[in-house]
Amino acid sequence: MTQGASRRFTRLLALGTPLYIAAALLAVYALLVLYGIVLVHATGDPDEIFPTGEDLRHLVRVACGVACLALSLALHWRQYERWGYAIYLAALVGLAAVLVAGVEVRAARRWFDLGIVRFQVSELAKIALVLALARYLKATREKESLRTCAWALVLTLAPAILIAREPDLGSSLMLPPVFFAMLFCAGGRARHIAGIVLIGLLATPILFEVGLTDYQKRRVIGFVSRDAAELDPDSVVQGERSTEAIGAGGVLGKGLGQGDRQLPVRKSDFIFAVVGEETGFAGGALLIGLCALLFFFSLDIAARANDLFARLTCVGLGTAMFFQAFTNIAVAMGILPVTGVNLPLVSQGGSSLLTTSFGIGILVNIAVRPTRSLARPSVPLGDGVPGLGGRGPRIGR
Amino acid sequence: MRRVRIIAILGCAAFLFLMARLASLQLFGSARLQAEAALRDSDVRMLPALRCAIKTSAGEILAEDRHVIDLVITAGALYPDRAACILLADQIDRARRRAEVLGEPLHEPLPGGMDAQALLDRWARSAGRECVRLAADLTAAQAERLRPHALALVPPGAKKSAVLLRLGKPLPGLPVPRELWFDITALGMTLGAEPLWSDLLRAITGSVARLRGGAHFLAELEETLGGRPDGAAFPAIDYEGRRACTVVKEAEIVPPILSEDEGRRLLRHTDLRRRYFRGVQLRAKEEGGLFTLRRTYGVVFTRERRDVCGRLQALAGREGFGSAALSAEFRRNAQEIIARMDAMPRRADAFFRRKFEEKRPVRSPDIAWELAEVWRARYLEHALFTREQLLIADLGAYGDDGVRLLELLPAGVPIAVRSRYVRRYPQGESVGSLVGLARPWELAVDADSPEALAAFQDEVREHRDFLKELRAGPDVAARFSERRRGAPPLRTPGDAVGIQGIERDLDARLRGLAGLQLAAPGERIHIPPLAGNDAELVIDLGFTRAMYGVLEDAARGMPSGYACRSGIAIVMDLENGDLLCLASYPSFDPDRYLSRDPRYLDRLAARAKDAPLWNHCFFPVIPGSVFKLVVAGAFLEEGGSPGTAVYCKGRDHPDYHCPNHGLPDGDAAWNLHEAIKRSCNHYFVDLGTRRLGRDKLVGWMGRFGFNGAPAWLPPELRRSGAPDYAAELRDLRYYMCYGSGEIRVLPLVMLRFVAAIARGGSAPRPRLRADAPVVHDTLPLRPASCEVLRKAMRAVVAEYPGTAHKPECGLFPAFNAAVKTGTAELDPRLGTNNAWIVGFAPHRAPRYAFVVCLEHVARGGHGGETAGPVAAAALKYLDRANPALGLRAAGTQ
Repeated sequence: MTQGASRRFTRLLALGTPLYIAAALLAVYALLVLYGIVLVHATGDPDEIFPTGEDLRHLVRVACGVACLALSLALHWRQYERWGYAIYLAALVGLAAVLVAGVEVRAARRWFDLGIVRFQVSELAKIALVLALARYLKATREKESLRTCAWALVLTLAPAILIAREPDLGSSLMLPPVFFAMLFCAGGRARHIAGIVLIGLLATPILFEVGLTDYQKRRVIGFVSRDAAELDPDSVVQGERSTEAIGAGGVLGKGLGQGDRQLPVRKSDFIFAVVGEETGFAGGALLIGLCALLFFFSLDIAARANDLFARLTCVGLGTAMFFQAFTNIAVAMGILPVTGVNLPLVSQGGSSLLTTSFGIGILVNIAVRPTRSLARPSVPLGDGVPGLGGRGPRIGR
Repeated sequence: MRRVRIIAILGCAAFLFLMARLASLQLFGSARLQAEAALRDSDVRMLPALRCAIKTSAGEILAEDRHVIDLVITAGALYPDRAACILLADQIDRARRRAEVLGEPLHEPLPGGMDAQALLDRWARSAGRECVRLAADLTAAQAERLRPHALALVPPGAKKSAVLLRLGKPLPGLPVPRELWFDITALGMTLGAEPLWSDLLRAITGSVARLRGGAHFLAELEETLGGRPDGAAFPAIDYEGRRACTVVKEAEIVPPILSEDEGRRLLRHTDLRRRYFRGVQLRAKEEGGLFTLRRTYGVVFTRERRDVCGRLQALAGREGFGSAALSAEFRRNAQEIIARMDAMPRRADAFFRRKFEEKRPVRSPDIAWELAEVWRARYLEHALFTREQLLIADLGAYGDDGVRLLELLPAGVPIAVRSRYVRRYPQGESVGSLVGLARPWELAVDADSPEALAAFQDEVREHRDFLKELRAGPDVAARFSERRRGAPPLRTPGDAVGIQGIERDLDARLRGLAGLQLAAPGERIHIPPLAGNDAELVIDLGFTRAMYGVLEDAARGMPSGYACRSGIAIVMDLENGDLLCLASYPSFDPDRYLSRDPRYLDRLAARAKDAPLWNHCFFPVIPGSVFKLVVAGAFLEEGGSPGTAVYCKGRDHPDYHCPNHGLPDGDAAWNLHEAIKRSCNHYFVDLGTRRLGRDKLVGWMGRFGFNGAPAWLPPELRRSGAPDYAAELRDLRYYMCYGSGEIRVLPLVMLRFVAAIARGGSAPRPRLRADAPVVHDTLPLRPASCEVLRKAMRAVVAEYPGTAHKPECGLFPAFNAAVKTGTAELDPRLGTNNAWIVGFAPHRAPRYAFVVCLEHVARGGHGGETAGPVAAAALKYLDRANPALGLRAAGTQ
């Protein structure tokens, strides 16, 4: 792809200026959330009229998500750079605390009970990691050195291990790709990344034996070998059913609310199966396209950002959302073994919606706020979009 | 920038991959996946093949499949949620109690095929809310009915989306009963965490004390349950679109003031659970809005069970169910079902305690299996609410009344009509061990043999794959019809398989071809099963039954005074080899055996040492003196002279006893005729050891057919072989010459040998099936030798002091029979013998040959005295059936 062609492509896609990119990103966000609202209603009782209790609760979550987005816009993104490590540390403490004091649901401690809602700290940890990594990678001078790579890895593994202890293997596996993508974009050597991947692969058998609980092992073995499927019939059956449901959707689907109601966890982990079955190829392709747009917009913003922190943050957030969406959809289509990962913005999970909205907010923030070099700190910031937090705090004074 | 672009390209590739997969699933693979989903939803099953009858030539039925229409009721369909509760509680309780009582984790399958240990494991792992999969033995239809109620089952705090009901798979190869095989449905539900037992008790004591002032609570509860349910109406459960059941009364025991945790703990109180679990529920009350949702819990008692009973009672009390007998049966069964429902919790406790405390030994493995089945069936009683209960068995027996009954039944009551085939054995014990029995394939597998189990599993798996493959392709009916005619036979669980006796030997002939039933939305295929061929036996049923009675008497010591443990009587028609009688005592009644009447099975188990399940006519026995005929035949054929004289020293012989042969001191010289007549041991020891020797005797035994398995017998008569003496007998000891020690003889072989003597060397081959050819074998016996032996055998009866000459032998002077008696000592200290009598009648123109052998005759009973009356009874029967033959001596009656 030549430079000119790629520029044209980028312009075509994002309609030129950063403001439009931000608007398009928000539009995609709105579409996805809308999709989620429709699906949550469709997976409920089809005979009920629209705002059922469940729907209302989801609407409240959406409202909270939008509020989060607005909240994240209220600060200049430099504030996130400044508080990156603090947020990261807070997330680590939260992850440690949830192991001790979390609510136990289905043999896993992943949630804090906040009275009204349950909050899943691992969702916050994703954003915290992105911010901390971005800050670290920007600050360090030797971006290609092995030491940088090692420290970044340590930063990544700390929350990943804590999350895996919950146990929530699916969420903890979402973190390494973020690390790889950010390190790569920061200019880390491909050799190092390849080395870490290699070591990771070599260590897989050990991790498999030591790190995984019995049911996780069975799930993986059951996925790899059909003969061993009897070890964990439930998850294999889940995968098969979901694949069958998607296949049964055909081109246009069976219609909302007409799908296979016996599908397990159809509101969160297998929501894509509902999409595929009830809205068919059209709806499924639309959803995948929207996710892709989200990813590409975030990369586009990254590409436009002049600041390394901003760029890395965009890449990190984009990768995190992309990888989560990819995993969820791939599980539903039977490509990957069953892991409990949400489809961001669409699934029912509240914490995910909140933090993803927050992340989108940061992306918009980076897109609309002009990047100022730190050489001119005295210029007041926060004069970006009226109505979206124009009164940003000033830094550098 | 470049690196961001690389990531973008990678992401692009990933999304394209997802799109490609989505397209391949939805645009290209849609039809296939839809078919698979349809396959999962559709009900395709093979129908068991029809099994044909076993008859006698006279047309009496020995075994047949009878079509039976039953009226069944599924009480659980009225209250599906309760049924599921019962199942869940029972399974878990049972698994736990087993582990406690036996002190070790057990891997015995629970009803429905769930492994107890696996269930416990899952339960233990479910510290939070874990999906406990429960293999409930529900039919698919019941599962459908249960599905809407499954949500109601979930404790109020649980996530309802976690409830799933789906068709499950049985454990591969597990011999579960037929009705469970395809219809196992798994019921998954989410349950709350269970705290430790001590915590629980403490918490309950605390909460009870706080609520109602300690111990008064339980008393109050009991009072509430006992008398005064101030009930409000509870909406009736919708059953198949109709309001099926009456109003369920309920009583609020604890108002909704408890927290969720307290409520659960209260409900888990041991006593509550055991005594009132089925009627006690948590009821949640919700208050507040979206953000301040507050749930409080109360305990509510619903009088469901009594209500089921009331419904049934009302049904039973209805007049006018056709005939009085039908009405009575209906009422009786309904009462019994009610009683069983009422007694269920109590009986479950008592039963388990007894079972595990007793652990009583059972000697015979196959009977142990039957008893295990009985126990299993009792387990299944716990699933009463989800199993069909027999209300009227065999409705067809009532004729038009049955039809009227069907019309009279009120709508909306889950009473269903079921049709089935039942294998019946109308002739009872007398031919039980000969006919044997057939039972459903999955029950016929020997669960203790790993090979048999593995083969069974393989076959079942093949069968399942075949069905899947069949469903996926086009033209199901044609392909199925083609396959079922091919080899190997297509068997389905539920197919009757012969496992014993004639049922097993003629299995391939009796068995038919499986049918197919496919029910899917918009598609319905029914290919009826095809019947096999009838089998016809030549036995005279009346004769066999009579002889069985005689043997039964003989076993009790009538009329000889010597009891025995088992016995056989075989009679063959010498013209065509028809086996008219193949009586073997003890025997069993296949109908009662299959009905699993525990008392009957216990009785059989007590007699297991005498092998009541086997027909003894086909197994080798120690012959005793009847073997002297073989030695004599060999001697004569070797060229020995019948006049050969041997001086018998009688009772003074150092090694063995030889009776005094009617002489004061017993010393005399005998020729062959006299020696057979008096059954002189010394004479035959001399012939065998001195004049013949081991090689010659074994050679002649081989030529007469006594060595090894008789290959000339048809397979249904060849269950076992005698030892192969040519290979196994090292040297001939003196006692073998009079048929003791290592010598074993198959009764049918002996019968043919006697027939050959009777007919001058040519003997008909014994046959049982009417379509078997009539074959005459020629044994290497010259007519002259036969003449000598015939005369000697006649002298045994007719001359003094022949061993069957005495009046108590029952043969002389009434019958024109020629016999040889035999007495084989089994245990000289106890004085138990095998008593034999072989012979033919009439002695001048022989028509019938017979073998009678009584085993383990007590107190030293001799062949002539104990087996003789049995043979006489047989001759009496034959004479009455055929007086012109002259079986009876002139002037006797």
